[in-house]
Amino acid sequence: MLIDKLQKAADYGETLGATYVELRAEALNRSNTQYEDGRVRSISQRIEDGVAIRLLAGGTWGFVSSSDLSLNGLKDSVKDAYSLANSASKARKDPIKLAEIKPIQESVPLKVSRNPTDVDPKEKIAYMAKLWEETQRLDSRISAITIRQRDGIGTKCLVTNEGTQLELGFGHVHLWVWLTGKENGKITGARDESGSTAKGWEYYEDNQTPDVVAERLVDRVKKQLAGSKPKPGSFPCVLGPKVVGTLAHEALGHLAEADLTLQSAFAGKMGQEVAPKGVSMIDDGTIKGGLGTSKYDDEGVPTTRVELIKDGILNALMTDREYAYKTQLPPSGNARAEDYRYVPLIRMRNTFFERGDAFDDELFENIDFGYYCLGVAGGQAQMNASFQVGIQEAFEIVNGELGNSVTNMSISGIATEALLKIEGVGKDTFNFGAGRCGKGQEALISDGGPLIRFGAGPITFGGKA
Amino acid sequence: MKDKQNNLVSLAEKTITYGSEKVDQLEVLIQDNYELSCELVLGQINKAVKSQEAGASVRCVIEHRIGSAFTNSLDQPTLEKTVNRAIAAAKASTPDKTWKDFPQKLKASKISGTWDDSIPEKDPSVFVDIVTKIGKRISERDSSIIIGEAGTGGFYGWTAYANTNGVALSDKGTGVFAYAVLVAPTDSGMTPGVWSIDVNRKFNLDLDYVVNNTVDKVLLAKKTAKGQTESGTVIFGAEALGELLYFALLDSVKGENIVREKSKLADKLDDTIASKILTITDDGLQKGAYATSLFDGEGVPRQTTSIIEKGKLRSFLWNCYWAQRHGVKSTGNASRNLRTGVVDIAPTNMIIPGGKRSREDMLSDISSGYLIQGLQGAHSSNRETGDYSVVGNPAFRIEDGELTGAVHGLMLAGNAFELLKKVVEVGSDVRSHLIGGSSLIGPSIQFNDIQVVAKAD
Repeated sequence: MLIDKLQKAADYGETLGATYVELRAEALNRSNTQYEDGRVRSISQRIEDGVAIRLLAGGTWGFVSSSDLSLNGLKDSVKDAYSLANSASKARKDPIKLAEIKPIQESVPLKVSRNPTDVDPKEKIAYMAKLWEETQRLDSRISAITIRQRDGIGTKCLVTNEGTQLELGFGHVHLWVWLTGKENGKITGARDESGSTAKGWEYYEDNQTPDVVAERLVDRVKKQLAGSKPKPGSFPCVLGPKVVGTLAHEALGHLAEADLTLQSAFAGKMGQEVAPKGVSMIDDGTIKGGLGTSKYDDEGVPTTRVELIKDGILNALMTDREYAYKTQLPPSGNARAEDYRYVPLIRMRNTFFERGDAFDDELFENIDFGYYCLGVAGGQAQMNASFQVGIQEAFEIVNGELGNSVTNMSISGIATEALLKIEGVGKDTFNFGAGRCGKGQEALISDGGPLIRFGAGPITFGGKA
Repeated sequence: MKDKQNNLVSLAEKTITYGSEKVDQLEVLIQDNYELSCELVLGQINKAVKSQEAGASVRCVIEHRIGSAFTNSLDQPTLEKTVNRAIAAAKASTPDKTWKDFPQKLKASKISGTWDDSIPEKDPSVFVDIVTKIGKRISERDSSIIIGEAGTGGFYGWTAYANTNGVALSDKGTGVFAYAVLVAPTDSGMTPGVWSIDVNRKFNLDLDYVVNNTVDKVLLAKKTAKGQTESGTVIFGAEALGELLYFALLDSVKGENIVREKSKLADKLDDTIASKILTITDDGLQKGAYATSLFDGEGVPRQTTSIIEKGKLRSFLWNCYWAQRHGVKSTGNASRNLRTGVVDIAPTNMIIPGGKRSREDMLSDISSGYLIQGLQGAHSSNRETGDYSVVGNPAFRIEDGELTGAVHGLMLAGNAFELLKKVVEVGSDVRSHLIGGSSLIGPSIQFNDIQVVAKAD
């Protein structure tokens, strides 16, 4: 049994003198397909096993990743990690300590209707061909498509010398599409991303069928082709669910990751007002079907709903065990590692703004000129709370009504200033958007929120005069 | 160490021998890479890490159907299983009638400065000492600085490639790196995070650069200056310009996008597309540079390719597949993702030759402008149109030839193709910067007539 081998190796680490020993072994079956303009560019299969060994010795972390899962190999890696930690600890003053947790022993299988690795690759290719055909049928100006489909399913075992023994089934299906349109020498593109960590291939049969994805993408390309350039400057605006979600994740969420908070614009702001009353922002690892949802994190901590901003007050931070101890906050279940090659870091899961009390129509009222931003083309945040969000779908707001579509725009601001100038939060339900966060390693996440209105000032629109 | 390289190429050749009868064409790329590093977090040693990144990517062709497979176990039986998985993938695929062949045997390139015997022998304590020294020197410069992260480490590895055309190659490489990410509290909050990284293929780190360049930036960022919306003079540090070129322009010189009619430069070969003082070369053979190697991800020898020469577009970048489709030769720019099997086109070391004057001299002549040393959102640029709308961070205000402080939330918007024509001076401060897995060896560059958008008060 793999769990038994991992436990023996963890116990061996303790005999060496390590105060904490953690082994995270993974066995994964994955496939990747890339489809372009009617041809399969690449189709790849892989089975990958590996183990991450992390331990504390002398109050410092030692980390080794390896593909050798034999007992002797595991013990060698534990010994390597111990010697690394020992060597580094000579230069550390205060030992790293971890917040206490209750060790859990549990097996949590992943139940999907159609295991994506059992689906005939021909079926996946047919899906992509259908998507390509559908986009061309919907608009003759569509000229190229790139589809990256990937999926994986496997088991992760987490064992520690404290008694944690978890065997977790995990997997994902994910689709990234870039669609290009051309008209009179003008070239433009739009992207779309969708995925699930709770469903198997049925996700693409039930939710994201080729016609649904194609319609969404073609609509964006049409708007890009018809769009005019935005005006530069600061204007009132209404941000849609995907943009609000990106703002929640990029501009604010990262500041509320405890490892970054101490060096960010949120430093020392716990318990203080950071947004108007009625504004709340959450990171929730327990949402059923959420792309960032998991029962336990990569330290064996149960995931939780973290009310980062509660009624305008900075209320909580996302933590791992190291930063939970350092900040004296509870471990929130946010330690995540991309795979066995990586050290777990504090990462978001499903991040969103709570719904408010405004009707959508009210949010557009009395805006003489502004922008309604709907689609996102990536975003990036900085420690001074400066954010940038690329916008691939937007409209002018003229006298409270939607006007022309706008292309190649981005918005920016200082998130801590912008938050305080929220003028209204919509009451309607919203869908979460799928995304990937890249804090040195990839994590599948989702984000969202209701429509939110900002007055003129806090949000700058990058355009050409 | 020599055995390691021989063993890897022998493994690659045995894999080809095993699978060659089962398929029309077969290739395998094997890598065995190691890294030892040490990291400082919030001013204290936090972790030491040892990682091995071993993997083999097998690609085969059966009746124009292409399939790939990956394994992270480098033993003969597993590689043979991987060949069979690639065959299964190919059989499930659809024919690509445009497919021709894997690369033929070509004259090998010559490179130097990419291996240092001492690096694989380094003990973790060497890197612990270096990172401790970086932390100490930063704190000595100014105790208010928060060392968000600092790190150092060494890497080394071997690569082997073989295919059914008789190509069998191997290469090896080493390197060391050191970096620091700093912030400092200000009256109103925090400075942006600023960073510097030095990478050298030999054990010869420039810690003065890592410490002083980063500290200088963060101390200047503690002062705040006001920007204004205008079309003005901007100096881009090479690290910021490199990002913009990488995300907003580079796709347009990739051969794939020429063939797929996704590039606005497709019909501009030999046309003047940039200022006459701008030259950009992709040099996979640059001595001791970060991305220098003997061959690319398809076993094609690396080479030197002029992209823009004194403002004129001279060449696009190609891998084997897209070059064959277009009837040209590969420029040795194949980049292979071992795990997904996708073979892309990527630059190696982009070289922009320096000018005569230092950045300080260029600055001293500017009465009003900005120095941009980092960007937020370059990756959200429109890779097809070249349109960008990004935030300069850190963005420093230049007034009467002096840097007066950081401008928060300064946006820059425009088009990368137009930007190329607006170069007015190329600095002499040539240095290597890492950009998206490639390197840019270039200086600061001054542009005029750049749209900047200042945040409202």
